[in-house]
Amino acid sequence: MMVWDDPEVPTASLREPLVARLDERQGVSPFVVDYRDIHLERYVIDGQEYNVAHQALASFESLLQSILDGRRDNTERVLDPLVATAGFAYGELVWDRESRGHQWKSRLNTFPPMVKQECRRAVLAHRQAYLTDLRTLMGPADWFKFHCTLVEALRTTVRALFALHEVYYPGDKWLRQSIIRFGLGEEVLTCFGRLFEAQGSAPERASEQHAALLRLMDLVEEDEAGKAGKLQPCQSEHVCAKREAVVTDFPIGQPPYMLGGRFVTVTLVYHSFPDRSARSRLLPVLSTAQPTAAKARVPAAVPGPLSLREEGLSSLWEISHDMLQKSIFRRKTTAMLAAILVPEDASS
Amino acid sequence: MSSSTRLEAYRNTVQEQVLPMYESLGQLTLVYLLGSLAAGYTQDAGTWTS
Repeated sequence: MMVWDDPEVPTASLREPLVARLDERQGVSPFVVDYRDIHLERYVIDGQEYNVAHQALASFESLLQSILDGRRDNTERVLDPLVATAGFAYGELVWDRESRGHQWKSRLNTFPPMVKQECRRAVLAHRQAYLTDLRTLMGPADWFKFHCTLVEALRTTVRALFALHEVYYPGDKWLRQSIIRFGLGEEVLTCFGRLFEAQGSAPERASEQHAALLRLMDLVEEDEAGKAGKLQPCQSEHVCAKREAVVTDFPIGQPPYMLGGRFVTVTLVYHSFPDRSARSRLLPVLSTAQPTAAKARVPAAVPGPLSLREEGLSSLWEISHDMLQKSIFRRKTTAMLAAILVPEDASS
Repeated sequence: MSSSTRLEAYRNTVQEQVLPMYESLGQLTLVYLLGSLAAGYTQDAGTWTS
């Protein structure tokens, strides 16, 4: 990508002679395109094909700023601003006069919360319509339209999953590799694969694709933390090993409740394991405190979390999810948590 | 050849052969490499090399 500090990029007629000189292929007409905001040429040097695109600086900066602001500007583009931003953010600077490139990269390091929210909102807003349309199209075996809708729904969903991982959507090409590279997790990768490797008859494949898409949409919907909190990257492979370090990442405090003569407080922590599903990232941290006279009146001080029993983690999901969804801390839930988590000899 | 070595080779080609040709066309302010070559993606669908 070449960015020009001029009102317009050099026209195709000016670039064409350069392309003819650079391209080592003989007898090939120079490939040079000017179409709206697309300015592109292609040539081969030392056996390697280069696709060179051009933008004017003002347009380039306006595009990046629209992403940082999380709003659409009024510019009509063929380029997808989010994908173009990804290309720059994850690209390699070759020439950076006046360090503008470094400055923009630095600004983009903080993923815009609005982009995260908007991408997630797009999934939630269209989720039911997409799923219903796909079901409807399966009836008359209208497979072309089915796949058109499937791709559109999938793109919307995957964009949101990237955004919730604070990754600018890198575009449709090499998407599987990008899912791996940016650590969207095994479940996303598996579902993505299911969409394209479904076996059986056409209706069977369509059902499998529908189910895989539904699961990906669920992952977006479940990602409550994406609405408000910044997901902290974490390289830990073991839930308990890093538990204390992430307690402050995204705590959702619950008021303390009395249980067995103790104050019990549950804090839900969103832990951004890159290789785990959104479902497995919600980690309830249980704290208990012996009531003293002072604490009985003002039970604000909560000691550090007790150690978790790993075997209880899978059961905890349903509980924590329920609490997140409904913001209700039930007595039944308290008892279940205590049975799973609180060792008999736990001290406050 | 490793991905980073390949990337360095592309960078050199762009800097030494390509950019000088474009200098006469205007004021270049920023150039960057992107895409599968810069990202290190390979034809092997299950891999990504950095």
